[in-house]
Amino acid sequence: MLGIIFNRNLQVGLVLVIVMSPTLRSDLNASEKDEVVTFADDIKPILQKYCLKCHGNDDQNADLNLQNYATLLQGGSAGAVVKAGQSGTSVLMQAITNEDDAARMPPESPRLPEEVITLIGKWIDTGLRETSSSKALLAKSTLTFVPGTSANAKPDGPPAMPVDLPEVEVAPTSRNMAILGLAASPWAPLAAASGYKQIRLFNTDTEEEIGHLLFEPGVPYVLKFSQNGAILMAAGGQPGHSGSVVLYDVKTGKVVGRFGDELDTVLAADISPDQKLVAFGGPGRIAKAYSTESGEEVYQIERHTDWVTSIAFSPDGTQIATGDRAGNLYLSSADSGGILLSLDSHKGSVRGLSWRSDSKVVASAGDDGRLIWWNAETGFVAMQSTNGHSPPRPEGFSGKLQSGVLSVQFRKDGGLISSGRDNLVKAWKTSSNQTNSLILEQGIPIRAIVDNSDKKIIIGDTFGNVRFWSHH
Amino acid sequence: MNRSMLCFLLLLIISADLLSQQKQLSFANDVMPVFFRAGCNQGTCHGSSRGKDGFVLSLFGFDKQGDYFRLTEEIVGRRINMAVPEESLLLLKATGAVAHTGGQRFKKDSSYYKTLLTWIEQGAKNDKDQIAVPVDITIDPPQMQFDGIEKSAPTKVIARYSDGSLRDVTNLSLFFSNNNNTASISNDGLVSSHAKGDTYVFARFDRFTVGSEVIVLPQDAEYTWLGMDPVNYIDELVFDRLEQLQLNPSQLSNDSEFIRRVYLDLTGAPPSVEQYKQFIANDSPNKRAVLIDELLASEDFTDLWTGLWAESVRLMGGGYTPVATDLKAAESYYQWMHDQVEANRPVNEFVYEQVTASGSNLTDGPTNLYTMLVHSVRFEPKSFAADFSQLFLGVQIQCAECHNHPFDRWTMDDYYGFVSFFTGITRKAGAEPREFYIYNKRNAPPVRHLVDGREMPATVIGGESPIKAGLDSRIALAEWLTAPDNTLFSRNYTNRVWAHFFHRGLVEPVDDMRVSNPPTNGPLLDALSRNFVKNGFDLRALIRDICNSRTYQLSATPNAGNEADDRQFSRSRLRRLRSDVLLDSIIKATEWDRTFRDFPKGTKAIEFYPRTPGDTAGPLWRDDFLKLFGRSSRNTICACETKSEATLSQTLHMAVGNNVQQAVLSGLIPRLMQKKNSPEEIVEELFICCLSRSPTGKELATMKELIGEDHDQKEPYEDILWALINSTEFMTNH
Repeated sequence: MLGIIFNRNLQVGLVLVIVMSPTLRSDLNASEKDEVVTFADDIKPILQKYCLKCHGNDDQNADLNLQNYATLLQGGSAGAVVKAGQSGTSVLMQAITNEDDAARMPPESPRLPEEVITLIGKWIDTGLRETSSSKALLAKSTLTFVPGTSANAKPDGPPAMPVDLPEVEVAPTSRNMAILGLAASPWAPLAAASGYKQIRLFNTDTEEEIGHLLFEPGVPYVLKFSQNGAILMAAGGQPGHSGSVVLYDVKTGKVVGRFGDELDTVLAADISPDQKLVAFGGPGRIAKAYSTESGEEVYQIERHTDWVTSIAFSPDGTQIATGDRAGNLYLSSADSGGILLSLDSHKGSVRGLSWRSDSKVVASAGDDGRLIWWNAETGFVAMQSTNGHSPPRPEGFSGKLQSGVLSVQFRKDGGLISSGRDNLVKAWKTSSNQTNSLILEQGIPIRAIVDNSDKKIIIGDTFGNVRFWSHH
Repeated sequence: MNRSMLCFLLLLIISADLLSQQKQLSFANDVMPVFFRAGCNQGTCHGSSRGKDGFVLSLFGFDKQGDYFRLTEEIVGRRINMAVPEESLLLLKATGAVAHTGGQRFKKDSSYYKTLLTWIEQGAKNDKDQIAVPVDITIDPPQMQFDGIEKSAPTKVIARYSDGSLRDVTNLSLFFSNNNNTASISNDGLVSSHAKGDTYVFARFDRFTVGSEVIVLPQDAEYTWLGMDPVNYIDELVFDRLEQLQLNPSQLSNDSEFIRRVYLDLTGAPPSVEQYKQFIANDSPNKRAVLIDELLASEDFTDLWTGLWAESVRLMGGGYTPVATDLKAAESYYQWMHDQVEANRPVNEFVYEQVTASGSNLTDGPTNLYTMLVHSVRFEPKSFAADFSQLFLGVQIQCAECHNHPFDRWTMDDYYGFVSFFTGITRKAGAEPREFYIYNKRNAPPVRHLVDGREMPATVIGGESPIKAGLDSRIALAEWLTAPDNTLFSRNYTNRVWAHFFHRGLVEPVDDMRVSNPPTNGPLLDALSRNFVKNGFDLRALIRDICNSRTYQLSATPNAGNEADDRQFSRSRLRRLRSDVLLDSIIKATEWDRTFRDFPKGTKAIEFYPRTPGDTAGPLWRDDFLKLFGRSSRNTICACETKSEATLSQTLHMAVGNNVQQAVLSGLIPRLMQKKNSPEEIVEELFICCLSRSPTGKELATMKELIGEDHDQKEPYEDILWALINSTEFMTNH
């Protein structure tokens, strides 16, 4: 079932078409077939055709022999060329997809056909099977998840819903403000979306806009509900001028706290599960944590080398994840801000962070096109999709495609929602790459989240539309 | 153009401007020019490859799609605010309403602000695929003259678009002057005169640069032309220019000045005593022309010109076989060049054969263009293409690898299309380790464009469409390169030849020809180039015209008006000798039997090139004297590798260094003394050997005092010879 809401302010000429793909897009179908890719059947013929002349039994440039499964795994003079489950960081994959013509393998040849590259990538990601009877070399996924063991229990009593919100006068705009921030209450059928100097509230059951809250600092860039759903945090400001974080009481709509006096908009923020800390950052390159009780700064995380673009507390309240525009991503102690782990893989801006409810996995969305599930205990990549939001590559084109992943959010069942610059919103299953997807014909889905029922996906786009997609 | 036509044109421009107020503004044609004009996308600001303060624009706007993405979508809602357009950070920063490192770029009431705001209000839309693009710009007037200083006149810049429309882009252009001391140009295109002289002012818009020549003359100055009659087209054009600039040429050089100059320039050493005396004694009226022909036919000329060619293609021989520049390869290339110069092979054919050469580097000399320009194990099409262009066209196309050439008309498309000529060049291992077969592999994939990854098939620089691929794309390249109508080629070469004789190109530096570096005398370069082509690319014919001109034969002594002139050739320029010519001059004057490393006895410095048992990559001289006196290290193709600046170590070396010591103590003085010559005769000979003139009475008297009564002592003569070699007169051509 698909729910569509057309915003009332929508202007003529900007009518948006939203299309639910009947089942799945055909190109996704191809790569999602459950066929097993193996060295013997699929990969060896490719290697034979393109690689073995220089990297075979007869000749081993760079000490690399790809002719046999064993020697392939062994790698060359620079070490292993394939890492099970990690095509994105495998040297083999990097060598055949390098955009520098002079550095790409095979040398002095056009790029290998896309289907060949896809097949090799799939072989690596599915665990480097030698034959159809051999086991995948993939370490057992750390993504196993049992819903219900999470720390965040439902609060006692009825969950907070706004009652008798004060009538507010909303500043007129010539167009809708793009939806930059979007959040849903974990317990109530309530969603909040950013507008110009305001926050728009929606009932996710009726899919109707039910009220507005004024956001005095300017444009809200980030919206989040506290874990118990009682507090709505909004962070933002005026670009190049000022920024701060505001806390609202969800029931009354009243401002209960305001933090930060920044020189530019706040681009990333979160409120800790116990509501004692508010952490935020932006173009100042520093993530700051404030005590909500005293209003004082508690600590700073200063390791970032570029704008802080994403912040998320772990649901158990022990860790804080912070990401920046250069792709740096750190896990720090939520109490002290001391850095625990550096999660080093993104090559572009970290656009979104989301913790799984058991606090063992954190997912990151990158403008480099990568969606990564991190093991928060070890700091290693547990799973990743390097082309989760790649638009189809036009024939004969090998330049950079805008393939960024813009948002990511875990569902209560351990599945995941992501949105990207390919205009797709994807729903990922708990532990495999299988997805369902929805394409927006116009407008980029900046944020995609899931409502309290865990079934309805809410999407905010560049044209200021909020859409609902029922999906399970 | 008559008046009504002009009015019509003006109307077109005005109405086009009015229309643009109502119609949908274009990102490329309306918004990007504002970034260009306001300086947003220049190299020190957001146009830097890393951007500035988190915001990146492409340098001077070469990547319009990328700029559109970064502006509108990279961080949605920040730089462009569609809900409240005037709160877009773009506008707030540009007008200084919020803190901005670059300060206020324009005011809120400016047309620039209005353009950006309107575009955002209209939806900040990207251009549809098919929009008219600028195809060229003109500046009006193209030439201006001021009678007096501190006077001003406006200029106007008109852009022509691919749909034929015209637009006044004066307020979207950037302006600069090549010499602000002579004339400056304001942001609005207003030119002001400041001092007597000539220069160019330029306007830049989109990827185009266009110049207007400015001549500033003193107000109400008395001027009469006092120069001699021209003898050929060179004189006519130089004298025209001098008259226009109210200058007078110096006197004609005397015979001893002339013979020294022409010997140094055509044979690489001063005349011998016999050669000198014979010429001075000759009283035929056309003896200069006869001497020029004689020297052009000499073996020394062939050696000199071969040496210059060898230096320009970075010819070196090595022992490290993988780079393909083996000693034997260098030798065969050198010998081939020598044969061509000796036979006066037309320059177009000479270059054509190298460009299209295939075969063994050891036996097919010209193939070594593809080994010597590169000097690396792997043939690199990009650096080869850059060197090729710089050498044969004087164009530094490599600027367009990462962005459109900022001060010329070349684009990234030109660059990558040109590189594709060389992507198939292969050096295949031959029969022995030193040998490589050079050939162009058919159907080699072209390079891809940096910005969008498009394949860029081989296209000549400035070409509209790719060449038709034949068996070897280099044939099409060579045909285009050496075609009579390719003035890039003929202007480049004639300018380099001119620079050899005047120590300054009409375009300087000689390997940086671009719109914003125009020749000091455009009609002259055109005429030289035209005549060169007309005479079948005959090098000696070109040189004959140059050397016979009055212009070449002028004295170096300035007159009352031309002291300051150093670019219009109103007098001969004092120039320091090239290191190898200096060394050959010392050798010839002192009869010194100096040898060169790894070369047989009797080799001249001009014939010497580095030979090493090792690798030829990196700077290489293999001779300390030549290194010290600024010989090209052959490390790069740049003409600037050959240096003519004086240094303290040079002075010290001339005074006490072993080269000059050995030279002074070698054969000359014993021979002169043995002939039982009188002191006067010996001094006379020494002066002629070194300076190509007799000593003055005063000089002679001083020398005799030094020699004293005892004529049999060697030392005083050696001191004299040492002093002569150390004189500025010896070390310069004048």
